[in-house]
Amino acid sequence: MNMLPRQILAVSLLNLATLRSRSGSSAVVLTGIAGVVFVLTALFAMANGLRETLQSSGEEDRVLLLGKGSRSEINGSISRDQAAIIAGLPGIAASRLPGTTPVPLLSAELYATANLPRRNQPGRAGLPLRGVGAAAFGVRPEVRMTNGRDLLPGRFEIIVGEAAARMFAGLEMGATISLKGVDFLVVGHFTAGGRATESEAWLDVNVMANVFKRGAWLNTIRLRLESPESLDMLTTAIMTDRRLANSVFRESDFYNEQSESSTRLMTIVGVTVGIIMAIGAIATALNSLYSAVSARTREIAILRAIGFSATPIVVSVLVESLVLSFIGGLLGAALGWLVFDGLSMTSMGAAYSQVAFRFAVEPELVLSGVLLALFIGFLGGLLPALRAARISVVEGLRSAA
Amino acid sequence: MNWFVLLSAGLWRRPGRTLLTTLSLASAFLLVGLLFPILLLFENRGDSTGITRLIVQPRHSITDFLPINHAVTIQGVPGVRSVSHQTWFGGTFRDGTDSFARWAVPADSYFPMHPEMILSSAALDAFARLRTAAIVGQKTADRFGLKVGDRLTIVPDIWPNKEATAWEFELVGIFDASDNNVDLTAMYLNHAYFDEYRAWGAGLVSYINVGLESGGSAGDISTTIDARFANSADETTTSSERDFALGFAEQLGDIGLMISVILGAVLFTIALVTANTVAHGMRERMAEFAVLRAMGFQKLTTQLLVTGEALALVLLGALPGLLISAVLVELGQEYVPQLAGIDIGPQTLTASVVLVLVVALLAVLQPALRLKRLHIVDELRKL
Amino acid sequence: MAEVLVDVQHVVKRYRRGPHVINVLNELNVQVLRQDFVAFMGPSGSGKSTLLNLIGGLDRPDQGRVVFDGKDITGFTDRQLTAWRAEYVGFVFQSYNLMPALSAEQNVALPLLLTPLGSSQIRQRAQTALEIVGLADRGSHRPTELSGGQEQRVAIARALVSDPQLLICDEPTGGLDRSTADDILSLLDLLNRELGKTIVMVTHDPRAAGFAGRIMHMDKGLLMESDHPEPDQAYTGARR
Repeated sequence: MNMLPRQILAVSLLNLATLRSRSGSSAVVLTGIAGVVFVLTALFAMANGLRETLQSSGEEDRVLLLGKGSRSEINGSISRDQAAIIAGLPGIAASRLPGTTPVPLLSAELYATANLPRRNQPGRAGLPLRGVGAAAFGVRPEVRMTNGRDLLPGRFEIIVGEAAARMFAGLEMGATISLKGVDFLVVGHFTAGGRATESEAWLDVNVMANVFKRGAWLNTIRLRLESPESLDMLTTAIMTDRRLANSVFRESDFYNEQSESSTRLMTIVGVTVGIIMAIGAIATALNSLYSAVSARTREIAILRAIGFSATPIVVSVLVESLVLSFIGGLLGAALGWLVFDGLSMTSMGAAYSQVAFRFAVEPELVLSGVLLALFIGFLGGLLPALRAARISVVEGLRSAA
Repeated sequence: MNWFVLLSAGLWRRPGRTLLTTLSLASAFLLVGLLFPILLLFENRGDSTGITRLIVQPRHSITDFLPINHAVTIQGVPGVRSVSHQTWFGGTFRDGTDSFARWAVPADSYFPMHPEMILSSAALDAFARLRTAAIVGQKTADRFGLKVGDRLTIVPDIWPNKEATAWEFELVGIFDASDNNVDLTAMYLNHAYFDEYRAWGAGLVSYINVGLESGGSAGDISTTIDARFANSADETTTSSERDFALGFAEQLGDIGLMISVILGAVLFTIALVTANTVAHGMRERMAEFAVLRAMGFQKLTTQLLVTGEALALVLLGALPGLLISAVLVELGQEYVPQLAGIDIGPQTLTASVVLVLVVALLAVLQPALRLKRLHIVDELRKL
Repeated sequence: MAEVLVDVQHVVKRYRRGPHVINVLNELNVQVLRQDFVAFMGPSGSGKSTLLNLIGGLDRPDQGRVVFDGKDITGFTDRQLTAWRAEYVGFVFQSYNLMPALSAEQNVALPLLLTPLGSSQIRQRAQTALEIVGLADRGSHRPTELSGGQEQRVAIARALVSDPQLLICDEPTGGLDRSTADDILSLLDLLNRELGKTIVMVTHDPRAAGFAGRIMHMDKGLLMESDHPEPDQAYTGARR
């Protein structure tokens, strides 16, 4: 019995050595599996990239307040009065400049989208526009100007996130874009570390209220909590004040939800395509390995006649299948990484606006790809392996080499 | 005995191999049948043949509105037969799960313009007469167990009610559809009632619907409409309903790129699998072909035979694959109305035929060469 | 009608293996008369199969001529030669070479695809051929369901079905047991005597002498003496 591992090793190596005579079929299995892994790597890298961008955009210690019953920043149903009341509630972090009274880190904002032409694609897409005040940067420490300067209040100016500037045509420094028939000058670009915020463009909130005829209504209030745990305190205060009726979201939760719905479709497509391609790959592998076993009939019969038991034969076939699929999977994942990792794309973010993200081919994705390849190889090799075991010595010796 | 029998003999010599190849090819063609029409949909954007309705939307943002007066101007554009409008109502129904679209529409003009919505005349009358009337599609009615006469309460988000915390409606009808493009989950309510009681935004609508006279050019009329409002405070973008829907789909991402990637990998696999199976079969059957040549079959005949086999092999996989994809699309349209408009039309069929021919011909290149060089005596000697 | 059906004149056939060139057939002359039943016998490498291939039009000599019924087939193009074989020759091989995916009747009918016959006529002819070889009831069986002897008989039926003048048999009884081999040989004999088929056979089977009308021995590409010489036979061969 302790001969068994040696037998297995010997037969498997013998099998792999004869692989070259089956190079055509082997190549097809390899390519088929590489193809599946390549496509799935692309699709899931897309979903991952979008999810990462959206998820990293939300902070645990930031809160998003929307109008009552709202789930999207599109709905402008917060009044300025409400904003003033909220500013006085407990749990909100305050900026402490020496020698001044602390100012609550709260930004009352407007939100809209503007359909602008895309830079590298035909058609138009939604650029998220945010009407902000001075507090916007304070609430969002991750946002920094990279070019030009910040907005001056009351001016028809706009600052653009780097990702937005890449996505849309006509958002370079010094360019003018027309919103609602009014020209706005691009005076600066900002970065937000790859977060969704970088896909936005900001205007002065009062100017926007005027031009977009919003009256005294706001879309969102964003504020920084003293600590992530302060959320409960704040929420209770809002619920108990009858003048307020707002929906309260921890920013990280809000974006997590966004990312789920956006990536769900991608995941469904990925899984569907993956299953269909995997079935094809399994059929190809079965075909190839049945042929391989058939070609090796005489050789297997000789081995059995010599005295090898069935187990090493079976294992050798599985080894062939697994080796081919492993290489195929690795190839597909590597190709996917080479082609897609870091590729920029935009997709639907919140509220019919576009968010820019990069494809993310993570190590876990590569591992999943290889595991899938091995799974396909196992399924494709199992039946042929069992058939190899059933080759009768007499018949096999009689068959042509 | 005929040529067809001889051809089949080649295929069924190893039935297992043929069937497995068929499975590989079928799965590949399944993806072709699913994805190629979607690709075409995006490629065929702007195609204005057979368009009977347009949608006019605010140019700059999905969150914008159009003044209802635009409809009057549009009515005066030559080629326009009728106008209507719809406004996104939003809000939350019950606990907000299983949400569906809710629109405020004018009773007199909206339904005549959308004859594919099947509604009883009693329901239509009730909708016009009763201000708080609402109708829902069959799917939503089924999902929530709604019957005519039920009260529907919607908690507003965008449109607070001037006089109440929620909007109350009475269900007067359930509509069905005569084609796949209709959203059978949607709810329609009376615009007049909505306009009177909304806390803000009187006179604002989300979209203006335009019905066209036959024989007009949809493209030209769209351009004219947009020109009328250019440089005003409320500019418009007019497009066919299909392009309007595509606009949403495009937001999902560079779908064209991803589909091309998948299709590329799939096509490559198809070619490789076919070529390999055909080549494999050839290798095993050289002696058979030598015998055929000895019997008096010409060289060209054997090459044509192999070509025929390759074609049959690919078709064996292509036909079921495409068929299943057609069925899946039909089923998918049940659940995802946005998929309407995707079917396997003449372009996809032509592309498939070309694909089958190209793949089969590529696969027989090397075998045909081997047959050309086949030396009867040498092959027979090997036996 | 001329007596000589196949006239092999001064044929040379060379075989190259690397730098070496071997003369498999060296200025060989032989004649096969109409309705002959000739068996070529000899050790391996004697060139008998090569000669068979030349007579059957499967190969061309490097020098010399092969004349069939007055027509020189040596100069035929591949296309002409192929068409000629279809009309005039039927082949029987040692390993039967039936198509495994076709039934016996379908295998037999194969050569008829090259004729303008309709499918019912094809069917009829194939049935007749099967009757001649005694397998009329096995038409629907696949080759794997037949014994070796039965397979060879199907092959013979196939060789017969388009009514060729010449039957070329390469080791037709190789691999068959004694009594089956005898059955095959007597069948060939029957075809020769009753249907007037000219049969040229290559064989190792010593019992072939009992069935064939003429035996020719070959060695190293040369013809040896023949057994059962017929007085009016016209042949020339290099004598040892």
